[in-house]
Amino acid sequence: MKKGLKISRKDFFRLTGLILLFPFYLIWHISVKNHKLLQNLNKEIKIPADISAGIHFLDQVIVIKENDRLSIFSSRCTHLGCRIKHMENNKLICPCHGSVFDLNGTCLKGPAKKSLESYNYSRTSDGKSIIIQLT
Amino acid sequence: MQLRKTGNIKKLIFFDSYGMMSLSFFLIALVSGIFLAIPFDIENPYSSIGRLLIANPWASLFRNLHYWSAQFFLVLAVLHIWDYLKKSKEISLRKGVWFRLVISILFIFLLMLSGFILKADADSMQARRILESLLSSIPVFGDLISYTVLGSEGDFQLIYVHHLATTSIFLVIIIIEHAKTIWGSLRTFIILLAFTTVLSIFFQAPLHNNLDPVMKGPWYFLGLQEILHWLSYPGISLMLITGILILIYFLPSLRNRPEQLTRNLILYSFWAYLLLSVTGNFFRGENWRWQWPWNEGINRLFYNPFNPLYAGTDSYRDSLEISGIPVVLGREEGCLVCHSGMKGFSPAHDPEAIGCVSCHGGNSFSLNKVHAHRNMILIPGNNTDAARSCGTTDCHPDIPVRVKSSMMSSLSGMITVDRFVFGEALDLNELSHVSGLGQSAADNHLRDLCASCHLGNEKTETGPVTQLSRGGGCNACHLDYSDSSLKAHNDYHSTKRQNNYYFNSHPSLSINISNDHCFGCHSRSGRISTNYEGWHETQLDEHDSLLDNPGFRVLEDHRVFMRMEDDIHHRKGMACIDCHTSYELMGDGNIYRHKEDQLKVSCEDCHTKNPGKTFFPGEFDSESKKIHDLRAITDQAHRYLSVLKSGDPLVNTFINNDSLWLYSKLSGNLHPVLPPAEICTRGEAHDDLGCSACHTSWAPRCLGCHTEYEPHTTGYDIYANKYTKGSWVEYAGKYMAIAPTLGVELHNRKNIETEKVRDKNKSDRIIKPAIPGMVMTLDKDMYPKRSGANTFSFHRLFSPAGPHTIQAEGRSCKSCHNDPVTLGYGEGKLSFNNESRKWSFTPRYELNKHDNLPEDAWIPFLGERRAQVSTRNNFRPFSLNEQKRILTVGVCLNCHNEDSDIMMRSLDDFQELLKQLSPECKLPKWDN
Repeated sequence: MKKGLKISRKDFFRLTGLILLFPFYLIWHISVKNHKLLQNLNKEIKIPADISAGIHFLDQVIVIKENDRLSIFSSRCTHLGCRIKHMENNKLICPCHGSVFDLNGTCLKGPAKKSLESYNYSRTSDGKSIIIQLT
Repeated sequence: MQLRKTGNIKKLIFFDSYGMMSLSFFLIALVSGIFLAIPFDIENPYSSIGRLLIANPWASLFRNLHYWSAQFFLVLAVLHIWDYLKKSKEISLRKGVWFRLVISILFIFLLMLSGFILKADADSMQARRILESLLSSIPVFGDLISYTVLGSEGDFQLIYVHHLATTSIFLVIIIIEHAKTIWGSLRTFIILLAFTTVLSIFFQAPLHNNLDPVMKGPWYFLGLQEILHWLSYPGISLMLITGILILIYFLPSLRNRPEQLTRNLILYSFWAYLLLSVTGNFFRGENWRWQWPWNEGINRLFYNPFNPLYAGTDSYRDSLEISGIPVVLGREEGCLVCHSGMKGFSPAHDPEAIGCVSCHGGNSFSLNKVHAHRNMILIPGNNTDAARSCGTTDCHPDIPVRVKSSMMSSLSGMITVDRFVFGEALDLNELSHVSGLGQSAADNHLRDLCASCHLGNEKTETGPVTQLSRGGGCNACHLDYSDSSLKAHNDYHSTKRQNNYYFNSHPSLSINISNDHCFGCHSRSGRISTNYEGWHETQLDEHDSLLDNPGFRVLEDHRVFMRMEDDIHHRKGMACIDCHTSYELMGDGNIYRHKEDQLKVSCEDCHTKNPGKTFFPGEFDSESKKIHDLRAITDQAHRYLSVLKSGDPLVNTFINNDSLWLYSKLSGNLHPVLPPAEICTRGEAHDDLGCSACHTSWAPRCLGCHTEYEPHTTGYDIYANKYTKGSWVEYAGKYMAIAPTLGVELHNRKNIETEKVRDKNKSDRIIKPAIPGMVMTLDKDMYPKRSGANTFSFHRLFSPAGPHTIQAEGRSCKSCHNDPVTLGYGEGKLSFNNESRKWSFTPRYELNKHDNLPEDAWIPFLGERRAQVSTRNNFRPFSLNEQKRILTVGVCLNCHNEDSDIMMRSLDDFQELLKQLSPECKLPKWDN
């Protein structure tokens, strides 16, 4: 009788199942990654270049124009992603958990820790629009 | 006995085991969910729910059944777990089954939360983002799990699949494995189905109107929302949840003390979570502010789901088949089914653009009048609700905050000065707010006579702004009734109201604020509205025969005014808003002590040879740009002037070919804006003279005012709007309209930004008109709660004023340098004796027994007063030295014509001229 690794049939299938989790994870991961790439081919928004001075809440972004300075921030709170759509006394306030940011996007009061994400932008060739590249 | 009764009630409610009742609710939710899927549109979930709420009561019944059965399923499932946890008994389940049961707790919440997200309203969308962030914070697999559960933002396909299939099927399997049945008891099922159906007929599942700024998750996660508020690293919350699940999983394998400790830990955590949930539900308001629920009103405190299905079967539904349900801002606007064809709005407020709910609240998801109008704001725009109507996020969110802290809401200066005179404020620079009015003598004086003129005074009745209107928040200025809307309003309130009169002409909200809007409040006190239009108040009776004369006018409050010279700007057709900007009128967010602190615009912003900063319209701030665009001032090529004090643009004053022009906001007429005359700017002699000091033609003033408390007079508290026993009463003496006295406003040199200092920036004082501000005897003898021994007092405080009676031509030199009223002595004969070379003054009015000054004086002739002499800390009459300098020039003017060459040269260097005096010149001698 040959000596070898003794394993019950049940344990064998259990082990096989566990090992199969790895390729499953890889396929799952790659399929989602590819899907995301296909979904996010054109992740940019366009706003008029002559947008008036002040603070504009444009769903995904907050556009702040003061004098000649234009700042564009993500409207997602850095705490848990709620959209910030409101301002009080020149401070941006997250409606979900009360984080407060100043107009430079800096977090003044938690629970958020990080500043709002700042977006880069470019002007269209005719100078009439600003293109914001979302990340 | 009591225990037995409680037990009986409990048995009646929980007639089956928690588990079995929970199972029945689960089945009801499953079945109703299938039927709810018919009208539910995965592409437009929010809209599809809105539609069924408005016009499909039977689908709404399925939604309510689905919602309520799901909530009870959760409650009973938790009770089922609770029941197990608090009983110390062994668990006979196999390990694998127990493991899956513990995991199923997660699935229950995922099932519930995915249902919450699928309604796709404002609450749901925020909850979805939170879930996405939480799942993403799981190490290594976070992003993958998050995307697999939720998909991309704005797409509901995956959530729908997980709600319908993944979680539901998993729970069905677990239930079968755990309970060995999926059907439970038919009796229990029938009873609970009947109960849920009745409940669903009357109570509606919630749907956020996407306007209310309060954002909250589902009720069972409000505790978690509180916990997350305290966690800068939200992943910790996942560890806490995992920890609890691990504790539950290992509980069966624990014995004795560890078992009891674990059990207690879980149970106490449950109670703590319940407490946090109550906090989140009742004590959190807009922007996560802490709120006291009793201050919010019952309607804001509780979600009131009472909205019976029969309400959806109104006859209005018939019209839907033809017209459909209007959609506004992505929301089904049921209001417009009944209120279609309403006219009269300005374009920005057209209900087809913003709906009805944006301003009026209410429930746009019902066609039943009672339920659609529940929580409706009939007159939106009062300060108390402005944040929820005019000030919602997509409209004017920053303005209600500014308005509430502005001078027209606070009345700070008026209150502080009044309290100062009554001896209740130590400093004229104290900050006050009308909402802080108490019951002191001063505060009751304000309540009896002054405190109705603030924007916080609620407008409670529909109708246009009239001379008798006070306050009303945004409406005070912006409400505008056209002829047709006024007719519709009057018809509605006449007999036609009883005959289902259909109101179809709405007043508009407009930036075309007429002078009449300002008139109600500003025709009192300093009376700038009446002054501006050229009316001076008299003490005539409205029935006086004199009134046949066209030079008189009776106001709606029965006061009689006589014709005077109106302000040049009024004569040219300019309105109040042509000068006063939005940042002045609605405030700039700062709190000010006195009105002149909030005022920004000055004469020299426009009447200048050297405009300060200028803007192209594209460079305006958003508010100014909006106003500019709404005015349809299409010319973008000109540069517009700015307010020197604040830097805000003047959206209607521009430079064209080196000349200045003003576009009148109401009439649309263009006016040339002239620079100051040479006399205004020549030399340095008048550098500290404000424009209004010379160009004000007259100012109202009164003599011999007396204020006393009359305990037996029935008064009316105009702040609280209620009758009172006892009232402060004012007795006026004589009203006059003459050229104003002048006073000196002192400034910190660094802060000088207005009037004469634009070019030279030298002076630290500005000479301005002054009128009697608080010149009165005050008798507190009969006031019941008086403090201190001095019950009778006399006050002679003048106030800086902008009388708004500007004329193109300034006052003559003599009218200042030789005029006793201007100098503060009061009316009388001011003469210079060439022999003695002395000035003398004979007052017209008797000396007041309290201070031995003429009734109308501010200061004694060639004298000074100590102590407080004006209603401002930085405003004073001319000092003795200044009086002497003014009167020295006055002597010159006795002989030299004011247009003469020598008087003109005196403006350049008066001291040099004094060295060249002729023998005939007799300069005054002074006694001291």
